Amino acid sequence: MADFEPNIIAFVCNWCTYEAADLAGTSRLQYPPNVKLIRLMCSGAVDPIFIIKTLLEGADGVLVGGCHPGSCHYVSGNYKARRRFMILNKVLESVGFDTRRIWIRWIAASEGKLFAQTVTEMVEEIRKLGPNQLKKTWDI
Amino acid sequence: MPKAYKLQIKNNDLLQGINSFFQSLLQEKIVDALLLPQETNSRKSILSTLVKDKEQITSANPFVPFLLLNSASLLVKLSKGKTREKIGAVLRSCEIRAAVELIKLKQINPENLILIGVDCLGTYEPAVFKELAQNFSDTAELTRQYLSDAARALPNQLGGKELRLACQTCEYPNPANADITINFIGCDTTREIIIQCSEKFNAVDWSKLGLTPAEDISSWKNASKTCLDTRLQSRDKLFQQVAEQTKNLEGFLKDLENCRHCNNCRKECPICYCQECIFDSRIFEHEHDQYIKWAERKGKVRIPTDTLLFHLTRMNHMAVSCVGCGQCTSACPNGLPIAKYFKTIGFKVQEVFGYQAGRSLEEEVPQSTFKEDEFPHVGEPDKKPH
Repeated sequence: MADFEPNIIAFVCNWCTYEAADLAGTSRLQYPPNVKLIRLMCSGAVDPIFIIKTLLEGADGVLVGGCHPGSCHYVSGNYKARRRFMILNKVLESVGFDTRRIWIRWIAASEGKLFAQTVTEMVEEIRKLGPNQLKKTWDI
Repeated sequence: MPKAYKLQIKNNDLLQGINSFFQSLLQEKIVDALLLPQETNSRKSILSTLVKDKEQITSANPFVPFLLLNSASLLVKLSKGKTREKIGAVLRSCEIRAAVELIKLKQINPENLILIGVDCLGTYEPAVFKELAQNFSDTAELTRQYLSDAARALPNQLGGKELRLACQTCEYPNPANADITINFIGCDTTREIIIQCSEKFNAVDWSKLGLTPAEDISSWKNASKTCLDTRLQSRDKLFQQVAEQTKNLEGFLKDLENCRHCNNCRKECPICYCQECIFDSRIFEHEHDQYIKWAERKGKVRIPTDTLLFHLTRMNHMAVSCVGCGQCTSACPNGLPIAKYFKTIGFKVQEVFGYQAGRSLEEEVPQSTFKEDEFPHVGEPDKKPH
């Protein structure tokens, strides 16, 4: 199989992970261009339906980035998000999805390197998993 | 601790006995109004009635193997706003468990609500019940046959028809969290049944309602345990079957083939209480361009779209509170086996939090709370989440 370029959508929180991405940029850190960022105010604002929809539309991977638990800009947004993602992962794995395509990472604003590293790792892991077959599934 | 009483049945007529008991609940002002199942005018079916006049309780039948809908949704309507009158609601275990969830979700106002639980040996799908009822003069006769079959063997075989899958795999034949329970499993229902009353009724003179104290309820307990063991076996078999079918998405999609996104499963689900579901909002009013783009990208696309997304989203939203009542499948016009997935996945999701929907009013619904230290590895596929 020729190397395919994974298409990864990232839902990142404005105050931490988005800042980290910005810092990675200003520090001229190199990381693969496969990630498309969608900025939300908080990881708690990520409705699980966004993640499901993204995968059904054929994205090869979904990354959700937020502040470290305990440091949420809105105090408890990421705690609620954490429970939602536990539920989401259990539901999706129980119907036959490959939940290795969904990554949740807590990346603080000062962790530009960690952001670049996470993206690099994720692109490689998703590349190994291959393209998301749902791109072709028409009866959904 | 609830107190156990016996209701002596006269003339071998259980239904007459329970009818009188319900009348006496109104008579003795234990409740001001009663929500209970009674026979329809055609005498071939049963539906819920709200009664204030005890003379209008003529054909009460909470034992019939049929449930039109999960009455927890009715309690949402009946308890809205300022409640003045005490309403007693005669409910099966799945309805009470759904009501417990809805009370915690602030949809049912529990003030002035008296929950009256009834043991349940299982019900038939509406179409099956309709067919069965043709062979009997009325639902009372059908119920008598059903109960006498149950006393002799597994109650799955009335007319050779199977009970609903949700009922066969239900882990709660006895209702919990009720103020009054009507227990008949393991009893000779032509002679006596057991009625248990919570401590809040300690001041009531139950002899006025025809009850006498019961010393020994062990035959009920043992028979209920036997029933439960059979159910657990069926349930575990179901979980295994679903696990095998869902090794990849195709298994699930196959069962959803005939879904036409009518949303009946959502309407009948007692837990789905949103006034405006996201799927009814403008977010899903796609434009011509969107459909054409999908068709272009995928080659062909199923219309209507978003059916899988609907089921997965609904699962995400309500699985933590799913009580496995199976109304989703019973309501589906195409008979899709939705209940088997929702029940299985509901169980698995609740297991993640050590939670059981409907178990206790004190347990918070997992999505309305959190702990600061939990699930340290969520979303890290190479590690276990906790």
